[in-house]
Amino acid sequence: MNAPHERLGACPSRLRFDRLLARELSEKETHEVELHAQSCLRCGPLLLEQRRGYEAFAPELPALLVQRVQAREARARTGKYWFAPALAAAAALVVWLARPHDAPLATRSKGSPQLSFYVLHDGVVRPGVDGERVRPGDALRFAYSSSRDAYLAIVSIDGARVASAYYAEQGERAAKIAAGSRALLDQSTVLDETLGPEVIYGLLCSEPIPLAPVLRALERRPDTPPDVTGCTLDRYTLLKVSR
Amino acid sequence: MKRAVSLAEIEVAYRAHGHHVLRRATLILGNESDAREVLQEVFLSLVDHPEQFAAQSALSTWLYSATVHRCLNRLRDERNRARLLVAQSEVWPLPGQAASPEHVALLREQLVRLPIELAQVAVYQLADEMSQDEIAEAMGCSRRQVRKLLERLEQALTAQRVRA
Repeated sequence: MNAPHERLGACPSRLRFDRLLARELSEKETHEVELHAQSCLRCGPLLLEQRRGYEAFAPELPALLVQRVQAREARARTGKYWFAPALAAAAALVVWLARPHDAPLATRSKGSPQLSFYVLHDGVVRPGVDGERVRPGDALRFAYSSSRDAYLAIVSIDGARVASAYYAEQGERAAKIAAGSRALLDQSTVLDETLGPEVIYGLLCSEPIPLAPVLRALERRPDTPPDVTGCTLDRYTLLKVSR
Repeated sequence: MKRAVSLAEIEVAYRAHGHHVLRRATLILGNESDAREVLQEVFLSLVDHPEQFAAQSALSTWLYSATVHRCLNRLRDERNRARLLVAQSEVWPLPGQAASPEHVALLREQLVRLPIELAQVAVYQLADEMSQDEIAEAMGCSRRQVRKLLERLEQALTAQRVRA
């Protein structure tokens, strides 16, 4: 008993179309499926229909799902936890492909940004951009890209000129990270009630730099980015507005 | 150790795959309300038991399998069966909604009567037109086993047609 497409010869399955739309196929496989759909009177409309449905799908996470993940994250925060490589890879790919490539997410001292972030607001997660409007209670989740093992620190200076470390080893020094592409950090930061502009700096360093001098310098000169030897810098400005 | 799936990870997975889970569930169950419940259940299952998806197949394939399994269980549940079968008859076929709606429409009641593994293989092959390799990956079995299941399916469907 053969599937209809096996009898026909080369028509891809609906699963194949879904994998194409989810960007799970290789470049060669994608080309083959699209080439087939262009010339097949049966598959062309089917793929078009699936593509339209895919594009129209509103990806708002159900509230119950958000609550369940948050509850598990909260429990996991007390212990060591890790991530599914395939999910992380899929996440990185989807976010990268979904992002306008010519729209910089952050300003960087040199080269393209190495730090990116997501905002969780009212149960909905969105990729963050420079100039993002956020609200007290929103949670930020960061991801980094680095071609080598390195040390990462994320610090901020808020509207009240208070400097904070968002990501650091025991709050004291840049934390060691493994080489990765859009690798998600295993913690998130819930924004406090301080309104106004907040600037976030990501420092990717060759050494585990101490953060106390960086935080002190930021509070003394809030408009001056940290200048630390051996570190490259990404900068995001957020505007925190009332709920 | 059990690994945790983060909110950011589940969000991007939902964005990439939510639509095809919903489409698949709507195809099998025949109404979007039940299909949305299945969509939520499938992703909750991924959050609660991420070890189920051991990255041995593509996430799409795992989600296909999980979706079909949950939909069939829902169809076979006595409490839902009558309601869903009526709902399907009202909804089917939607133009462009399904790959082969006529196949699934014919299978509607047969899916309930078939042993679960035959019902699964019926959906994979007749509705999704998956190859034997794809079915084997989705069901976590060999291609030889898939061929045996397809033979059993053909016999079962023939027997049902004779009885009808």
